[in-house]
Amino acid sequence: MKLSSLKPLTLAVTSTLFVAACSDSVDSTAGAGFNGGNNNGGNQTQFDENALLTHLTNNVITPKFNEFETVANSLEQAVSTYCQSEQGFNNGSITEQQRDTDRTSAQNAWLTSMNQWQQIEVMQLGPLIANQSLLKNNIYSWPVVSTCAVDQDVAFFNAGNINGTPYDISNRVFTRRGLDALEYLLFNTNLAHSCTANTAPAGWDALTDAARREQRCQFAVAVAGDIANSAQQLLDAWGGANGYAQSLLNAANAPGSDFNNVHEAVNRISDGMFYIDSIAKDAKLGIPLGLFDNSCQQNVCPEDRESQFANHSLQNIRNNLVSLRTLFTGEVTNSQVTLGFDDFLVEEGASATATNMLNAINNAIANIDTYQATLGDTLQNDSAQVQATHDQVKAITDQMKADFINQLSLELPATSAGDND
Amino acid sequence: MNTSPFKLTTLTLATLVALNAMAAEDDNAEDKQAKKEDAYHERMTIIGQRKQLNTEAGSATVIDEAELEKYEYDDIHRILATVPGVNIRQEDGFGLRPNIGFRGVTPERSKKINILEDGVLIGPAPYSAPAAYYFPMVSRLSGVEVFKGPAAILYGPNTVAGTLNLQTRGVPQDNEGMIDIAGSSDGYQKAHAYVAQTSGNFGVLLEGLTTQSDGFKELDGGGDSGFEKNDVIAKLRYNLDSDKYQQVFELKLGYADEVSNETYLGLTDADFAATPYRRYAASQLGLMDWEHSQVQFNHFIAGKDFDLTTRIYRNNFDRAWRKLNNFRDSGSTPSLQEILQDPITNDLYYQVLTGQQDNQGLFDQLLIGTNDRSFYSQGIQSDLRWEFKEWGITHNFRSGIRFHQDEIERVHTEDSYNMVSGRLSSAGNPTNLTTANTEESKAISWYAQDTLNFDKLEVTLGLRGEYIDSRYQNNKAGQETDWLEKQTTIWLPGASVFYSLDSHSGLFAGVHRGFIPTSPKQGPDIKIEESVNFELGYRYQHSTTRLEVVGFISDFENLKESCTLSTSSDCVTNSDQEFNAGKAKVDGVEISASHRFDIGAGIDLPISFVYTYNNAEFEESFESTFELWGNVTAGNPIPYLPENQMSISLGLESTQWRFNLLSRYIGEMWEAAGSDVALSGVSTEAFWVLDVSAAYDFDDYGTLYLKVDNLTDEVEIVSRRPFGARPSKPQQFFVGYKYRW
Repeated sequence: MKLSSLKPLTLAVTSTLFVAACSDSVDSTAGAGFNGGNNNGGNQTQFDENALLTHLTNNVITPKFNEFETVANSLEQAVSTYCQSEQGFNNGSITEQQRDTDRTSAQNAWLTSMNQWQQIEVMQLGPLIANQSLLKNNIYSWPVVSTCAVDQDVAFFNAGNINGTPYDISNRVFTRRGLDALEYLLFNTNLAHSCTANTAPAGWDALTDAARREQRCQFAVAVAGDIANSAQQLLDAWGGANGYAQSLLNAANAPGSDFNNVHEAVNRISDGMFYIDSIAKDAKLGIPLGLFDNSCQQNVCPEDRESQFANHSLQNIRNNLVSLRTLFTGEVTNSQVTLGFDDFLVEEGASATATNMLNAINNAIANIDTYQATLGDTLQNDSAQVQATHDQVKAITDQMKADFINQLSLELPATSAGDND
Repeated sequence: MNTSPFKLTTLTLATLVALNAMAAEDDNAEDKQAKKEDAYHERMTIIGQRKQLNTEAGSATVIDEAELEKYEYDDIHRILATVPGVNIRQEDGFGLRPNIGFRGVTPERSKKINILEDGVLIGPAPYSAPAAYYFPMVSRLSGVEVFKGPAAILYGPNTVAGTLNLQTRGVPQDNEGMIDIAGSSDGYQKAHAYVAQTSGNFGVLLEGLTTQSDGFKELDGGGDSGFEKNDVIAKLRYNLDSDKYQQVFELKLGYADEVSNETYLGLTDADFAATPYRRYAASQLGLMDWEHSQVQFNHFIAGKDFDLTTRIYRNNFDRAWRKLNNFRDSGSTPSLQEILQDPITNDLYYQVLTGQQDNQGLFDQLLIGTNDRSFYSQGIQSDLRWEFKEWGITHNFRSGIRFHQDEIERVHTEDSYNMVSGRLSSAGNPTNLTTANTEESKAISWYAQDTLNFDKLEVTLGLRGEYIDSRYQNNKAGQETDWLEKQTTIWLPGASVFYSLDSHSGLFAGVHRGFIPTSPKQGPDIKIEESVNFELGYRYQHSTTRLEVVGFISDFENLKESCTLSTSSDCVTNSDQEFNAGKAKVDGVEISASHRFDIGAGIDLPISFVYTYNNAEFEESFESTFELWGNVTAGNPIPYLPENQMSISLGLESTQWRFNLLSRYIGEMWEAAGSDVALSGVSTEAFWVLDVSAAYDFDDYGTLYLKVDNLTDEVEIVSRRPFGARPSKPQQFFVGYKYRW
């Protein structure tokens, strides 16, 4: 066949293809585990998400923030009283018993504050996560903590300056302030500094034990005052006409809303709940258990646990779970409304997921209540019990990452998007 | 993993010299075929070495070997500075991993343009993972072609922006060879040689190139910041001509490797201002190590009014890049970008990064990742050109088909390190497997284009079809059900006209559909990138004068971008995840003009001017966690697209010597589009760079050349990505000697 005979055919085929070429397509088939099993289509819901958002904002989150501001002020007062006693004891005007009583009161105030704060940890949104979570870290930054940094600032604070610049705790990085620093100052009984020779606080080793206690308590007063200030900053940024709470309440009123839609605002609250996964499960339990890199080459490592001085670790996890349950069920004492994520699931036809998740949360709380020793001691003596707790919490987060997200068409936060389970 | 460059160079040179000695015996047996016009070589190019007016629509630029030799550049960024419509984000100063975009597509790892070598896709896995971590060594190129506009549909899969074709040296028709050695400051050395021999219908070319440098950056605590690169290529060509047909069979074999002490970590702005070439202690383990091999077989047949080129190719690329990823995530740990952008708030981490302070615990341990990836890319393609008359009209018909397959297999691991007295020390934890997956694509591409010649008017209609069958599979234990299979079918029409005003000038216009596929792991929520691209231009070419002015608009229905570690440390956890931006628009003007004045006494004064104006904006408001974008409001600029770019070159050239100046201006570039990301509101500064080169030809004794890159020793932040401020290359003097036979 001569090439020239193909000319009409070539033109005809080409022309036909030009005409036919009008349909593009992209088709895909996914495995069950693709995208973490979250292959929902983002269907429209009939559930009143605005009502959920309003209830959680007004009756769950805002009261919790207010309560924390109250206990933070009490904490400041208690620490101040204790420090006056420490000074009084040193100059002979206060008995040791009175000093110890006041210190215990300050420690109890810290425990009360921490109980409140650990519930807020599961509500990290808006001002708490703005600016790389600066405000949240100023109040409590664990696991980013440094006892040496606190030791250094005890010395700087009492010297009144840092290399000639007047000391101002509000300018200091968060490892030197907050509830974590205050825990070290109130509960640590070792009066030696925790730094290396190169980073040791100037003059500390030359101080008497009494002077060391007094310097620590004086800095503790500054730290407690700073926590109270931060709590007020949180309320200021949260409340009021321009506060984040109003943004959440206004989420459904586009245009003018800070969110594209109310679902996006609900997703922000859901993002905060995943603290249970990345911090409560992984950082508070998984790392000390050696399930991830830790300070003990992935062996059981009590020194990586939270709250090493107050031994409040288990109570902290319990408070995280209680807060998660409150957000999930919407059940609080100050409201007749009990709208929660469980209701959202039921509305979406996922009653089983709602029940399973609530059971899992209750089971994990019940598990923690069975502990007869601190987390540190249990890690040393019965790590299987801690592993069981971890597994109970994982039972919650497994459902959160799959069914919960999927059924409610929510997006998984980046912190939980990895498959490190 | 890599051979010593010294050994390689010595071996290569010895082989080349030996071959040349053998070849010398046949010096007088000049092949008659050598005198024939080499149509085959022409088909290895996109545009070709046209001496007359190019009547194709689309902005086309050819940088030939003579032009490349003017500045003896090793860096494709510097070479492309003279091409209008090219936007570049520099990174390491050497151009080891180029970031090139055309006409408004973001330059990140050059993944939105087609990069060809001798007409074949040369990216490691152009469909499955288009980021060009491999780029051919430009010192061995004999030409660079840049094509933008409607003819993009001939060179898929990416048709939004354009195509960069890198031409390697063809087997010449004469026996010849060359040795080129050069040295510079910072331990820079280059040795480059080739020898070619033709005997009868058989021709062979061997070429070797090695470069190395100690690097111009100073690592805290000491250490190397340089690189070593080697490249060997061999071509065997056989001509089989008859009275009716000319045929060529050619086999090309290539091997290249690189070891470079490169890092993604840059500096804070304050540290950059004080010591721009500093590298922090935390980058001391940075090491890129790769090997690339290629095999290509070409068959070419040409008759009276047609030619058909068939290429079979296979490229393998294995790379492992060890580099700082992040600090250990402790819930609200800032990214490296955030730390460097605000080192006061993040002083805690900054002190560890710089080695001024030991890390204090788990939370400030450094995570060093090794991204180990294996790629292959293989296929067969045939391209037909056929000129015929039908219905009284001359048709220049082009059609082609390509069966292509590529794959990337990722094995990413991470190790934790403590900073102890300024040195990184293993924390003793086991190596963590962070990512293990495979993405593969099989693609069938077809195009047809017909140019109808109506005297002064040429009308070109074209269509490209792409069918892509892809699969993603998570290879981690227990993740077997994490897979995605996807089939994409797309049709990409294009049309253009060229109207010849006279034999030297014409007007052209074109429109075509732009497309960039999603990678295999992207779910259905990630849309393909698609656009409609328009252009209108004027071209003049006569003797030594050339002028081209092109206006263009790229109207994106959906602009997408992928999150790679080269963008941000935030991408460690979602490496290569793509994001949609919706509608966007890029418009601009490209102007290029050149003329060669004869100023007498056998001296020419070549002068050229290139200018590009870009206006690139998002047309939709959206919120994104992608670090390059953030929360975008319609009207925000697309990052890394300078509004104004310009280059001016002039020289004095005689037959025995030449002196050339090239000055480039790059306008400021936004480093992020919207708000609430680390680099929101931050831009690079506009800056000029002046390069100078000179050469003297000693007739039979070779050529001595001198050049100075960045004569005025200008230093600016060329970008703050991947993490932190990166400097442009400092002033560098080179001296080299080249001998040809």
